[in-house]
Amino acid sequence: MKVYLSYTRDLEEVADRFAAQLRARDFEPLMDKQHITPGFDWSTAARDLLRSADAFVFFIGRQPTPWVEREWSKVLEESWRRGTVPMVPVVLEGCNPPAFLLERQAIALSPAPENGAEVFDSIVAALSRGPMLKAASSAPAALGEKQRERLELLEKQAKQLQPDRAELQRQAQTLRTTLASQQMQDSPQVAETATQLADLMKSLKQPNEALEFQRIALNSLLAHGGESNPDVARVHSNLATSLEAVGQPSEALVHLERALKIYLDTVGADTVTVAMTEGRLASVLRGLGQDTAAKAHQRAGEKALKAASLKFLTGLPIVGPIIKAVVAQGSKKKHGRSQAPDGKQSASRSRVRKKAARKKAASKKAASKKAASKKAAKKKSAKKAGGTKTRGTKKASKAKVSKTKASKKKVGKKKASAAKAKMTRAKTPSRTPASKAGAKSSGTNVGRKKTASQKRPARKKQPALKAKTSAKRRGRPS
Amino acid sequence: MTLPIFAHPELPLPDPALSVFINCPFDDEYEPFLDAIVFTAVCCGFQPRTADESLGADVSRMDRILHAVFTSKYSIHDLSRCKGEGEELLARFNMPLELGLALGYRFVSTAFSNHKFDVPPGKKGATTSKLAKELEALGNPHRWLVLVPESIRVPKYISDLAGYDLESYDGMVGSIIERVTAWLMSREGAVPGMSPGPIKRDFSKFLGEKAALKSEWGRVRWPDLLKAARNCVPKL
Repeated sequence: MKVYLSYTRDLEEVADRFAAQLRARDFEPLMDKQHITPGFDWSTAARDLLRSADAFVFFIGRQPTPWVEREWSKVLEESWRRGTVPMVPVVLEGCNPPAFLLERQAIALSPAPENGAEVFDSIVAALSRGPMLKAASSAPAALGEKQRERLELLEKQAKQLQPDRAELQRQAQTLRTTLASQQMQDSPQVAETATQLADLMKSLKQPNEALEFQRIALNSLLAHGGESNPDVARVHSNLATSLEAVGQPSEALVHLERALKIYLDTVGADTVTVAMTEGRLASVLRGLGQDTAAKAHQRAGEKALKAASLKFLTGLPIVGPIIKAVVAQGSKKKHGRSQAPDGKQSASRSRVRKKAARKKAASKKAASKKAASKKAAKKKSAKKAGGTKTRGTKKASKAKVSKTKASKKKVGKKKASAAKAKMTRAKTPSRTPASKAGAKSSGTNVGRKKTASQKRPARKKQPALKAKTSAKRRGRPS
Repeated sequence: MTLPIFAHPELPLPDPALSVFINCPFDDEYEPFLDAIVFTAVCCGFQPRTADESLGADVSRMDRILHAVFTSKYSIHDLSRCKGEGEELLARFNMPLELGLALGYRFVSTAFSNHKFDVPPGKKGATTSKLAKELEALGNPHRWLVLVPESIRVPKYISDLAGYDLESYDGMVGSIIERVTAWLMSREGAVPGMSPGPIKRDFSKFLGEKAALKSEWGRVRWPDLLKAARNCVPKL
């Protein structure tokens, strides 16, 4: 059986003696000083050591150090993880065990070493018994009584924090004086003081006065910082609450709508704040009998909450990337391609887009080179044939090229072949030997070129079509 | 109970031995975690404290913070929001500042608890003697817990704290409840018998009470929040 020994500094010797005795009785004692190498990460090493232990013995003396207390926390977490773990507190006379060990039957340790053997036997007996005996003080009734007493004490203390009506009125008076002097100086602090006063008025159950101070706060914020500020939205929201309290839901609606607009502009749509504001708007609208609008805001609120939750979850350190991948896969299935849930992915997508654009530009350059060489070849062959090319013929062939460029951009193979047919028709009026030769030499190339440069921007289509029209109009051989 | 020497005379003083000062972001995003810390502390039998706990209008905020830190035996800090924000990427310094105050208090309380003072009242050094007695009455010196999300590499982030073992959590409310319960239940003053299971179970009840308060008042005051927590504590 592996027994982990935790001890306060003053009981280190006792723990060492006990470890030696345990070893003699075929137990395996585990101590941090023997098993954790200095300089190593204590947290990880201690966790592994605690996980390997079958039982825990705590020697509790005076003034536990932060390290011992930390060890106790880790043991406690380990005990919750396992469900039940044998834990034996050995408490030095006059010392108090930590709360989680108060539930266990403790073994008393005398400062004099005489009872050493007795203590050792008691610990071994406790370890051999398996699950530890619970202390009488840990009975549900006793624990419940302790809890009740503590909660009463906390309540009493909290009452000190919550001043009575007379105290609130005194504070309100002080704040009114402060506010007046701040208003005289047109100080930006007016908003804060007025908000505090509004809160005080609410505590005093004076909603109309609260409303008045909230309006002062709003005007001050607008005068000093402008509308586009979450603080302004917060005041609008508070105003809406007060207006609802005094039975003016229509005015409350106006302020909530303003608050929502500011929140959307400043904190973004995928936030809990927006979701809550949408929810409140829905509730006010429902109260006013505008069910359709209420439903729309309800839906928007749910959407915002969903987006906020997703944003929060994808931002988590371990599960975040997994959730992100699952969401991306889901949207890929839904839309046929992945969506960019965050800036990182959209950045990588823009990189891909840039790369594609570069590729396109390169192919365009190659295509124009080919076109130029083809043109030169045509000229050469025309010269060879001794024929003269009219302006119209030239234009027609130019139109051929530009039309080719234009037609291949937006359409697939079908459209490209249709354009090829059109181009052949455009060729017909200029049936000179030169054009025939050109058509012969470049017929297949034109088709290929079309397919290669299909991705050209659509705006280039327009001049090509114009050129085609002018070629049709004027492109007669002289 | 004697009045600790650091207490502000105009502010209310709950029992310092049962007080837990909470230093964390007070924003909408962190709200569920703050609620979890407050509720867990109340369930374990402690009194959560902040600078905003009382309505004392004529006491400056810094004085209130000092009062709350220096009259609490325990403190819980979460530094997860200490990162660049806004266009200028400035971090919020309130939380490291308050952790610094707690560390200072711990240093002072440890130093005093390790020394014996025996100065008769009225003589030179009598104040120190009073302080030592008060600290002795508190029991152990000030103890603090720093919660850090797993994603933050602490040694790089606050290298001065690298020697300490800080508690990491996985960014979930349940994980915070477990860490805080384990920490508080292994301290002096906790009510025995509490474990994370019942706290997690009744946490939603507490959130419901808080939501009701919020819809009624627009903003939940600290004493009302504590009252809501007390009403929802799982019965032992």
